[in-house]
Amino acid sequence: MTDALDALYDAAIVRRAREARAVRVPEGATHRAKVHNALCGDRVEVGAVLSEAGITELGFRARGCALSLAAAHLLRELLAGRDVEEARALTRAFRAALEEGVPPEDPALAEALAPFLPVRRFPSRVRCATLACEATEEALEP
Amino acid sequence: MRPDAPSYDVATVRAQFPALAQTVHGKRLAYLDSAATALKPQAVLNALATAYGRDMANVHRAVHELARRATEGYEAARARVARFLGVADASSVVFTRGTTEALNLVARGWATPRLREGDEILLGELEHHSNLVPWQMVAEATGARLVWVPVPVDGVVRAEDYLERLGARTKLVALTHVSNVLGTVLPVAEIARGARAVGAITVVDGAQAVPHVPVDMTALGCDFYAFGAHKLYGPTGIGVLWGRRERLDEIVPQQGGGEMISIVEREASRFKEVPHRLEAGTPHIAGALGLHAALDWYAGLDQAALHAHEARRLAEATVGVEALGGRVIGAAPGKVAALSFVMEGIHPHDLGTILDHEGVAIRGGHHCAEPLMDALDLEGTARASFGAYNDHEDVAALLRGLERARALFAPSP
Repeated sequence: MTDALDALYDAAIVRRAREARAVRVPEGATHRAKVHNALCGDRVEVGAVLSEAGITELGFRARGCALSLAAAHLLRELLAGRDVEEARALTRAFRAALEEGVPPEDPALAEALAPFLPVRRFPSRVRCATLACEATEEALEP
Repeated sequence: MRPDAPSYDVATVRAQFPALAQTVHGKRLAYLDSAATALKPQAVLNALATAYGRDMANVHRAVHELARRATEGYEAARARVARFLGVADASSVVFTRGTTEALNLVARGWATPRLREGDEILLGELEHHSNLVPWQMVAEATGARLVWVPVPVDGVVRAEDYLERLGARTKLVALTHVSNVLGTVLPVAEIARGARAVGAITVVDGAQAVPHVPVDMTALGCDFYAFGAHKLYGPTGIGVLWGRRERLDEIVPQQGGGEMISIVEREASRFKEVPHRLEAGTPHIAGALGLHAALDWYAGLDQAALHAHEARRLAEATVGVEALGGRVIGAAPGKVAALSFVMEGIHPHDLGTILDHEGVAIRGGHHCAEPLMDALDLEGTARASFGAYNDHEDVAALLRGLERARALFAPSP
């Protein structure tokens, strides 16, 4: 029997969360930001190496729950190699999908985000899954 | 695991808590978050209903019958608190909004006007933010220095850890009676004795202690003791600052207004005596009556049987959590009613969500004790805490939920 918890802690989320613990902020990051969820104490620091070609490397250091770690892990994958405008648009779509239930237009993003959508049934946990987006938006601010 | 001892009838206790009759997410509620706030027995709800529904009037003002009843009820609550604390002088009991307001009153009203640059405030890494941030503010305002008492990894606090840091510069020692994270009971009496010997006062956060250990002001020997009603089965929004009368007299009122003055003229006013000078404005009258009812209700429990009951819950949960691979944080002998633990690879908030889904209410996170988390190198802990109403089934539900969490987080094949 599966239920809302099985959906929330999908194997993909659990795997990403585990792998996320090994990720670091790249040395020589040109853009950085740290955000903090005062409600639960979760912290995410994002660092990106930007060149004229776009984001050459993006990494993070996250301290928090499986949802915040897994979301940071996915975001890192999605943003690698993108230019700043694309990265901002993706991050916005990522947030809109989780915060407002707006389906992403980009089919690849929609597929990657699917395991995260059950968080919408746990309103107190949505911000866990968008904390990395907040940090990334702040890091990429002009 | 043994069933409850016959001397303590947990089913009778549970029947007095309407909140326990509900299901959560379709499951029986296992409320294991009493260290955050306790559920309320019917006796307290009745007292609130009577206060608002029958004897409603302002206190210390009008001559009509309802005002008489409200005033007498409010002052009877003060006398009841004094009895609970083992003191004869009810005027040494000041009503506040809670523990935090009581501690801030001492910080702002007593410490800030008195401390000077170079003075020292001694406090432990294990303190709750409510007994930590006010002292940072005092230090900032006065130039006094915070001296920290470290917490050993086992969570055992020794009086010597404090005594060896006391000196001629120490003006104030701030400490909790019981740690909200570790359950450790601190040796308050010994520390207070040492503090007095160097001329320092002792301010005790009793929020976690009042529902679990005897609190006798004479035995503790502290100068100020703060607690709230809501962890003691009473209402939210009402608490107590107890102080030695001579210390309370030294507090500069932080709020002026009605209720606290004897004479008001255009340029200046004369204040009433304590406790009224420290209770400006209309107080939380119903809250005080609810606290009175909570203290009566609590005193009606066989105290030795209650403590043994809570210790049994703590012990069986400890054994169960460890059997599931959890690491228990805090191993002080005689610890009370709070079980902090971490499960390898599962963040406390994920545990909180999973357990909630199983009807189990716990707290996860830093528990408003970030310096302690840093000292123990923890991101946070899960905390199950116990009260008079927790039965064996509550612990069993906790352990079932933890098994579920382990299964969800097991590496996929």
